[in-house]
Amino acid sequence: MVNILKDFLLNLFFILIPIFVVPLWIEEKNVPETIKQHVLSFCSAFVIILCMIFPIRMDTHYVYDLRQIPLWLGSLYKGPAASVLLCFITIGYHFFFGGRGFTITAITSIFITLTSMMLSKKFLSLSSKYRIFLACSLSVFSGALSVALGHLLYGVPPTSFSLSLVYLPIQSICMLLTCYLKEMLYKNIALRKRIIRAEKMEAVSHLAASISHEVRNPLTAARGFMQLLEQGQLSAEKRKQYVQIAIEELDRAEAIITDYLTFAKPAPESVEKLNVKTEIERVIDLLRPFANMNSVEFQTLLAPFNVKGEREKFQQCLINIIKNAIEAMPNGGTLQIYVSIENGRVLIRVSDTGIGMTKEQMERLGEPYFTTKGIKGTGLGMMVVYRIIESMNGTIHITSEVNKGTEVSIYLPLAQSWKNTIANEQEKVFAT
Amino acid sequence: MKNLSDELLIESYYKAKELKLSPEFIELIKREILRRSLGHRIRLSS
Repeated sequence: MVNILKDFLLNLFFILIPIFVVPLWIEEKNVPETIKQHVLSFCSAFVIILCMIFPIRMDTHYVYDLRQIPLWLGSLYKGPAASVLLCFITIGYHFFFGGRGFTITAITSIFITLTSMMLSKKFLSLSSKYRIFLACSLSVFSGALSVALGHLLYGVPPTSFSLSLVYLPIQSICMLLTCYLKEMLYKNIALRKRIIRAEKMEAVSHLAASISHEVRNPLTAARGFMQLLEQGQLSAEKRKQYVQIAIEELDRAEAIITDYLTFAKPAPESVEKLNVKTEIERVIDLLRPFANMNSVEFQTLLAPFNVKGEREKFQQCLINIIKNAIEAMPNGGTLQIYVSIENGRVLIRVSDTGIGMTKEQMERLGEPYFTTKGIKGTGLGMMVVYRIIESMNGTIHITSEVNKGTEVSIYLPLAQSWKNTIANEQEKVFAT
Repeated sequence: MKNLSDELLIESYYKAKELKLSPEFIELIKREILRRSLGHRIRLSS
């Protein structure tokens, strides 16, 4: 009995390890979606093989294992292609290395594959509660199928048969546990993504006030010049100037709104090569109204190095940092942004001449819901910054002195193909 | 507004005041005049 328990636990261990480790690893490292799917399918395949190598020996007649769990989960969550792959691997492994009971393996595996091919789409659209329920019921069904086949085809004696009745509940309990953990982990990951999104919406709504202010000015000007145009007896030259000015002002208003909307609109989550200079310039354009409102002046020394990451997230990260810097200078000041290369990594340094932070505040920086801005802050901005920089394999260093200002230094890995041009770029940077 | 000539800017300022256009608009022109350090030309004559 102890041996059976040991075997069961080993099987369960094989199943649970990838469920915990793989999603964490994948989410941290920003792996592209297609590779993510392949990794998950191959993990399921690997687990199936491990389960078959270390089966549960009920008695001399009959050998069980929990391979049906990764087979079901892999097939249901990853779709038909993965399902077929897993089915081939299960049957193939049993054919070449397995002992008796090949027919049972073949029939149950094909049954699982066909069923999950039909159900997979529907399965993924269910709520997590029903997904767990459905997966458990299916595993009971396939378990019962293999027990019945064992009895019919191989005439497993009654003693084994009763033992195999133990196997059924254990398999469904393991399935319940696995499925539950999987769903919980996915929920957690989804929640983390939602926090980043919510934080962005917060920034969007903060910026809205400064944007509307900044848009109103050009509109007022355009309207005023139109009125002047309508009223006076003007020379053709003056009319032309007025019309030109009105158009320019309208263009400015449009540019501000476009910048804002580009940021507010969700962008596809894809890792690409990002030019640090362009991204920073875009963010500065977006934040200029906000800076003007706080009489903050930008001073920049930028260089076009490339880093890898998701555009929207990187921008959001820059926005959070620069917005913090602006908000730290309620009475105006200078905001410096400096880009260079240090030890083969891209350095982005944002420094302000604001109120700074105390040591205690510095220590808690990046903690969720910790804010120095009182009721105005969400306490999520810096947390999101840390998370995004981590996902880009970067590091962040902050130094601050009360009433002197804060300096945020971000170090990011340089995107490969640009390494050759570093020397040139560096020369250019220091020449300016 | 930056591309408007100094002369036309000053003229617009008076015209806007005369026609009682919106105070925000007048304020904007005034700000541009002050930015160009032409303040004396409106203060002298007003």
